[in-house]
Amino acid sequence: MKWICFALIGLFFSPFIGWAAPKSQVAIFQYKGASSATSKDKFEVFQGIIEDKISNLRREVFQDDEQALAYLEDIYVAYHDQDTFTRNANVKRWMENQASVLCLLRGTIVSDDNLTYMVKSNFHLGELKEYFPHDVVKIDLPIKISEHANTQDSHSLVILYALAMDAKRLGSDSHQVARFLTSALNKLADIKRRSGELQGDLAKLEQAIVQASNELMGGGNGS
Amino acid sequence: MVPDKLPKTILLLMLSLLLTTTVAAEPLRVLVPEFIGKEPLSQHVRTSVYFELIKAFRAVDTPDKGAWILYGQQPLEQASHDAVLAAATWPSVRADLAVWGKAHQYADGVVVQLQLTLTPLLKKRQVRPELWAVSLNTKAGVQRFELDIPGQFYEFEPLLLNREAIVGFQDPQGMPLYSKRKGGSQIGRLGEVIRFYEIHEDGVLIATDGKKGWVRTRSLADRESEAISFSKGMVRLLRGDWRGAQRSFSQVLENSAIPQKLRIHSLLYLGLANEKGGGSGRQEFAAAYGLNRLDRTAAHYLLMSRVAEIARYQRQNKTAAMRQAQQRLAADLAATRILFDKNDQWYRRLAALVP
Repeated sequence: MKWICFALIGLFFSPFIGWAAPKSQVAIFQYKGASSATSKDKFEVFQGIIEDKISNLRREVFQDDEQALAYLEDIYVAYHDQDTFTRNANVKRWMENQASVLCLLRGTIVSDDNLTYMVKSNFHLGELKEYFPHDVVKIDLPIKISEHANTQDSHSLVILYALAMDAKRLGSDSHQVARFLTSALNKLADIKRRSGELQGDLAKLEQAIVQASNELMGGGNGS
Repeated sequence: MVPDKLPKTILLLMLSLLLTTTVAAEPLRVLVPEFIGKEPLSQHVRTSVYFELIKAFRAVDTPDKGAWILYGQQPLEQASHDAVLAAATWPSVRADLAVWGKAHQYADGVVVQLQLTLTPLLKKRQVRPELWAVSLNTKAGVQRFELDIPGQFYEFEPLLLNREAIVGFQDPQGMPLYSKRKGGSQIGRLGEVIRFYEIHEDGVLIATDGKKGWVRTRSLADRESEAISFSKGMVRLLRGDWRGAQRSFSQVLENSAIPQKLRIHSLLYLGLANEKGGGSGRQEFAAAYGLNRLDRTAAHYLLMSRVAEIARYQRQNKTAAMRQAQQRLAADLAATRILFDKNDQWYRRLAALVP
């Protein structure tokens, strides 16, 4: 009886004391402009890229390290209807109430000519922004074959950064944080190889990742 | 659904398995499962990759024939390494490696994402020439240090096929069969079961559905893609063909447009082939680690090369040189310490080598 009381008290207070469990949900809200037949089709292409990436992330990061793999076993994508958030503060509050959300993805699909479509993604990192200076990482990319790899890598880059910061938040050993940052650094190199020097929020994210890496290495060169 | 005319049975190609080297490792089984994506395009692309691999291991001018290429029948549940592992380790398949992919359809063309999965069956082989072991005489007796290969899951740079390039991949009737290697007329289509007679760079002579004719193979890329070179290098390395592995991984590294992880691992495999071939892989391991100083796998190889260095000096009774090598090992251990678990036994055993 005594233990049941303790458990109930724990459950009641857990949101307030910040129960340190890994965040496992990548929350994707339907992008604005993705309701028409054509743009819905584009959004599905985009969704497919993200889903494939997440399903292979565990193996890419941890290879066959079964013990480490268990850590990422539950990571998943949850789709939500188009959001009604009017301000970033609303998003922040929503994330605070959803302890399992690693990052929240919302955005817009736009086209000027109904031929070329652009996907504008806003990644909300919540408490995991850490070294990144803003609440939101903005990534804009056209939906076309030449940007497929960058779309894939830039979105997985943000997820890898969030995973690294979540491992840090959980007080994980440095070698675990390093595993995520290793993959993130590789993704950065790939995007830069294709597109040259990074611009906008991706450049700021690069700085955040390098800073996190340097701190981990004890001030050395982490890139 | 898969077009009717595409092969539907798993074809075990009875490729001759003569290696020019003296290695006793058995041949490997490489599965090319059904690709995921819009059909018939995705399956035509899969067939092209299949023929590319056949050519890589069976072309008339290719000396190494260390692999059986399997044409997978079962569709993958999803485009993931885990789904491929399930398909490849099925008892009737038992593949050691799988080259697989997904075709992403865009308005302006198709992107083919190829991947390579190495299965756990590789670790069950009786002969595993790829394992790197170094023995050292220590105060506690002879100690053996081992390293397995650096990775099992690889993603290649996506191949971009524009609208013009995919025209030939969209025929719902399947790949055409011609009466001659060049010229001639179309006499049929690729059937369900294929028997191979001659394999050349530009075409393959086969018998299918009671007809004998030529399939004109088309590469997905302008030159041999890094997916094919890397897979070929893996098969060669896993079979102990060090020179062949050196050639393949050097070829991969010549390509400037490959993913960073693939570059790091190609350097590690090249260094490993050098070490196993009697040389040093130190330069390659250092280059790999230099590309990403948080990469624990690269750090493993860098540290192991220090142990190999100490062992070399020990065999040559060069005490002073051995001590210097121990100091270098100590410096590298300190620099990479945060990449290892505090209880990592391999790391701790290496640390114990430093006086």
